[in-house]
Parts: sequence; C-alpha cells; structure tokens
Amino acid sequence: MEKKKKGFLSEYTGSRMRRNEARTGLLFVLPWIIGFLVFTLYPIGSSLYYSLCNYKVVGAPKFIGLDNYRNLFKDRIFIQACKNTAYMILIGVPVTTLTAIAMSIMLNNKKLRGTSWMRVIFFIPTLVPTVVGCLLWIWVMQPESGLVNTFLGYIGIKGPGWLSSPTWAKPAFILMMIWTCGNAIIIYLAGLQDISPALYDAAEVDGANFLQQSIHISVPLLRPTILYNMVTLIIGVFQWFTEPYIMTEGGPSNATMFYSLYLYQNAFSFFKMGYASAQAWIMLLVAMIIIIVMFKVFRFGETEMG
Amino acid sequence: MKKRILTAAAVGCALFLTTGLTAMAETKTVHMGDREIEVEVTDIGKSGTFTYWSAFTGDSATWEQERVDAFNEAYADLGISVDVQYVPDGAGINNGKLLSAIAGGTAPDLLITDNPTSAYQYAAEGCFAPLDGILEDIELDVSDFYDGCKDVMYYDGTCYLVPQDTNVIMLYYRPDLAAEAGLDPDNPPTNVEELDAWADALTVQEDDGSYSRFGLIPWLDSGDDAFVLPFIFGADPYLADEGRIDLTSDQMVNYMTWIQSYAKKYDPEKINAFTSGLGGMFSPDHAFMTGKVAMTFTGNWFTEALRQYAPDVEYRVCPVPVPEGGRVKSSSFGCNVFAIPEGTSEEQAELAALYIKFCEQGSVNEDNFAQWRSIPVIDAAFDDVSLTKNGDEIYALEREIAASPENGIPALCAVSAELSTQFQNLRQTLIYNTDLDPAAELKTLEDQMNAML
Repeated sequence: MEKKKKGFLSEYTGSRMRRNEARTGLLFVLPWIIGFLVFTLYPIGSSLYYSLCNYKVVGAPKFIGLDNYRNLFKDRIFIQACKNTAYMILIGVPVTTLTAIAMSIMLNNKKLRGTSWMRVIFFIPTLVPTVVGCLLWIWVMQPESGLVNTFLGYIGIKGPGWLSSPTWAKPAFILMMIWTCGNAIIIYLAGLQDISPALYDAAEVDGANFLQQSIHISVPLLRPTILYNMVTLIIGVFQWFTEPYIMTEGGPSNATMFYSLYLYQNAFSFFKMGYASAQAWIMLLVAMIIIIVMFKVFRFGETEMG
Repeated sequence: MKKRILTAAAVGCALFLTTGLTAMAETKTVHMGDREIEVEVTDIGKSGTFTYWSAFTGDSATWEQERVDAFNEAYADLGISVDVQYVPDGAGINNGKLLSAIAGGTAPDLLITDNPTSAYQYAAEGCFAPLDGILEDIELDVSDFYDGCKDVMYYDGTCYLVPQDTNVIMLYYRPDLAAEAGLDPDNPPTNVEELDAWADALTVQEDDGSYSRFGLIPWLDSGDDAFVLPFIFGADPYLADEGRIDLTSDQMVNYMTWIQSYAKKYDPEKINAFTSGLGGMFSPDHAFMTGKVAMTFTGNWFTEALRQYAPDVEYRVCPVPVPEGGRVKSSSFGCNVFAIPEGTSEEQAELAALYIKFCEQGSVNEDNFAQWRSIPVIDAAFDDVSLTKNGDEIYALEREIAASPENGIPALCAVSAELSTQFQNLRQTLIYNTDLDPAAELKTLEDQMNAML
C-alpha cells in the first residue's frame, strides 16, 4: 500500500481541483503573509541585527557585537527604567487585578441592585482616548485643586503633589491604571458567568457566605481569566508609553521613566537605534520569562475541577 | 560687418549667461495678513514647488500661514510656491518623525524648528544639507549675523542652519510684590547674592509650614532648560576647541550647588506642587501671573503672554543676575532655525533657500518682532522694528543684551540632544536628593557623555 504523503499541502495533492483550491487559498492569504514578512518578520530580524550595531538610522549600521547590551547595564537611567517598570509589574498589576476581580465579583452579585448601570460606569473610562484621559488625570492629580487631593482634604489628609513627587508619581499612575480597568472587568464578568450556579447553591447550603463563596469558588475558577488579564496587563506595562510621555515625560527625577519611554528616547531623540534595539530584545526576553513563570504558577491548561 | 555681428552676439550671449546665473532682485508689495508689505523677490531663473515643515502651532501657525501666503504671492510670477505642513514638536525633530522621514527619503525640502540644539545634532549626524553654496547663489549674506547665532549655524566650519530670529532670557519680577516685601523695585538684583536675598524676602511661608508664595523657583520656565542658566552663570558645557564635554568647571558645579541650595531651603515637592499640572506659560494660571512666584527666568515672548493673559499684572525685567565669573548682561540665544534636509535636490534646495531669504526680511518679521518681541539676528535690523521706533524700553534692554559678545548657544555637539536630556535628569535627581554631591554626579555624567562623544 502506497504511503500517504505528509507535509505541507499533502491533503491537496490528490486532485487538480484540490490543488486549485490550495492555490486560491494561498492567494487569499498572500497579502497577509507578505504583510507579515515585510512589516513584522523583517523588522524583528533587522532589530536583532541592529542591536548588535552602532546604528543611527541615517547612515549604515556598524557591527559592534554585544557592546550595546553591555553598555545598557552600565546605564543608570536604564537601570532606573527597569526598576520603575518592575514596580508597576509587582505592585501596579496585582493591585489593578485585585481591584478588577473585586469589582467584577460585586457586579456579578444578582442581589445587588443597579449592577447594569455600574457596569456601564466602570466601562466608560476605557472609551476615553488615552490623550484625553492623560490630560484629565493631570487635572485630577493637581496638588492644590485636583479632585483626589480635594477628596483627601475632606477626610483630613493633605494630599501630595502626585505627579511632581518622586514618591507618589508611580502610585498616581497605578490609580490611573485602575481607572481604566473596565475591559478587564468585562472579561472577568464573562468568566464569572461561566461558573455553574450549582456550585454557589451547594456552598450556600453548606453555610458559606458571599465572601467565602467568592474566595473559594469564584477566584479559583477564574484562574484562566486572571492569567489572561494579567499577561495582557504585564505586556501593557512593558509597552507603557503614552501616559508617562504626556503626563510626566519620565520625571520627576526619572521616577516615571518606564522601559518603553526610555527606549523611545534612545531611538528617536538620541539617534541610538542600535542601543534601543538591544533594549527591545531584553524587554522581549524578560517579558517572555515572566509570562512563562506565570503560566507555570497558574497551571495553564489544567482545570480546577480535575 | 560680420565680425561686428559676431562680437555683438558673443557679448549678448555672455550677458545672458551672466544674468542667467546671477540672482536678480526686485521689490514687490504683497499682502501679509491684513497688512501690505514691501518685500524683495529674488529671481534665480528656476521655478517649482517645494515642501516645507513648520514647527509653529497656535497663533504662530497663523502667522506662518500669512508668511507663506505672502511668499506665494510674491513669487507667483516666477512660478515658485511653497507647500507648507504644520508638524508639531519641533517639525518632527523631537519625536522621531523627521528622522524617519529622512531615513525613508520622504523628508521635506525645508523645515523650521524651535529646537536648535537637536537640529545641531541632526546637522552633526549628516541629516542636513550644507548651505554655504546655496546661500551664496541666492545672495543671502549671513556674515553680519550675531556671533552668538553663528554657534548654531556652523558645524565643522560648514553652515547647516540659518536662524530666523533669536530670543534672550531675562529676569521678570513683580515690582508690586517687591515693594510689599520692602525691596526697591527700581534696583533689581544684579548678582546671585542679591537674587537670593530677594528670593528669600519675597517667599511667604504660612504658619502650617506650607508656602503661599516663592520668591524664585530657579528651575521654573527657562530655568528648566538644560543649559540656559549654566551658560549665563559662566559655564561652557562643550569645549569646541578641545572637542570634549566639560560639566565639572567651577561655574557648572557652583550653578548646580546653587540649584541644590534652593531644594535644601524649600522642599522641592512643595515647590513643584506650585507648578505641576496647570499654569503653563501661556495660561492665566501661570505662577508668576497669579503671584505665587515673584520672579522668574524667561524669554522675551513672556511679555506677550503677560499682555494676553494677565494684562493687569505689573512686571519689570532685568538682565539675569550672575555670580562672579558669570556672563554679565548676556544671554543664551534661543533660535528658530531653518534647515534643508540631506537628499533634497539642488534645484529644490535653491527654491527652499529663497524662502529662508524671504523670511529674513525685516518687513516679513515685523509682526514677529512686534508681537513676540523676538530679536533680529543682525543688530542693525533693530532700527527698522516698530518697537525700537516707538522707544519701547524692554525691547531696548533686549537689544542691549543681544549685543553682548558673550552670548551664544551652549552645548552644541554631536550628542547635544542626549546631553541636554541627561543633564536635566541629573538636575532633577540632585534637586530631589540633596545629599548627593553635585561635583561627583556631574563628573560621572561628563565621563559618560565624553565616552559617547
């Protein structure tokens, strides 16, 4: 018996019609393939090569081996940018995630009235264009007449100069991050609605209150959704640019100099495209490691129900 | 007879060739906004349209459009026109747009930017076309430009940038607040000791420890620019003769120590709470306009901001007070500069250069000078400005400061953009970490930048 051919297009070698189908299919996807090769794969390959070069965009790249990578670890601002980004990942991401989960569990509570309106209210900030949101938050964080400090003033707390303080600038950005977590709330809500009501009923019969049900049923079963949201949030933090660029330009005293902002400065303000490419590759590696660890921690692929 | 005809034909041809190769100028009356102005039009025997990126926005963009329309009207007969595009952030020089355009071969034929420091770095990196030959062809004489402006025009002895105008930095102060604090507004500070005494006298601290007014925030407005104050205080961040960055001179260390003394005296977070968020220079909430700050270092354009947004606020100006060894009655120049990106064809470059020549004319710049109190790049041109003719005192002081031979544009080198940013970062670090030693930190940055250079 003749062995069946395996490999690319093996299913389409049987008849002329199948081959034509394959050709047509390829023609349909060709624009995407070309786009991918030219606008994604080629730039990725180029940036890897440029990361090993002294490249200033104008003029030819000059190969310098691993010098860019070595110099990065001697660069104090790069180290500061790494620390700032780590702060946002270690503090900002968990705080935002916990807030979003808490909100979605609350909004999923059928006993609570007005949840549909509240869902809309939480989602509205995600519809605000980023630049508008930034300008709005500059006002909200204004030390003397801003909304946050005015509110704090009512409860007897003198609020800091949020965006002008190296201590408080990052927490200010975390507040802003929480404000825009409406998308995550919607995804968590979808996840919560997938959980069988029978589990809650059984828990209720056993005497579990709302908090216990949330901790022991909702959160564990939301694990894949939490993983998804946290991974996208971490990637977002690595790519975080518009907000610090508009609101603080990396200041005060480099307190909000995040990874992407410094990468951008090197690439487009300082003519150091090779150096910036090296930064980008380090970012990719670090992000990959963090995400792999998260997949392990969250036991991706395993179900809670065994 | 035949010989005579041949001779006449030869002379005719020679004359034709000579006149054809030489620019011919004539005067025309054109409209600029609602005014009629006389301008010089130069015929170089070429026609076409060139593209132009202007960094101007807001009111300045309106003025730019009037200037472009005037140029197009003046050169319509010669078939020359300019196609202007308004590209924010310094004509794309601050955000990578220009760099990408040059690399991609889609750069404009001409641009003007308000960031001469970065423009200089572009020139040093070979992004701009040399202009000496072109300026000669269109007969634009730049030899009388202020020496201080020439710092930015030439890289390695070749001209790459042409300033349209320049600005000077002064100390603006509030005489009403000075009088209230028991100071004599007619005798403003002339040196740093007096400046500090004024700053202390004008600062108002409340019983709860908070401040309701600061006499001076040294890093507000132009004080926030990288090298404006260090230069006026006598420092030379880049030593062109030696080809190295010098951030450890006595003047520079003294400047940074002085800055740090304000951070030690007043809490920098409290100071910056005054200025963060709201109240940019062109806003009625600016700290000087609201009386939260009694003195500030800024440029001549602030007079117009005060006229527009705080017409009732009383103010005066004086040269920036300097320490011993500083540049007395001097300023760093802040220029808007024209450049022609590398890759522009010779013909397009010549057409673009005609626009530069057009814009250097006093009649075209009159509005710019009268409204924004910008300064001509040639001293003699002051005489034609209406402010001078009307005996404006502030403008007379500006002229006096502009004429100082010590003026210049500091830190122009092949890494000027990064040097400026890193220096500003360091200054902020020293402000917020007053235990750090300025000399040691400056030395570290100097070594780092020299290695890069």
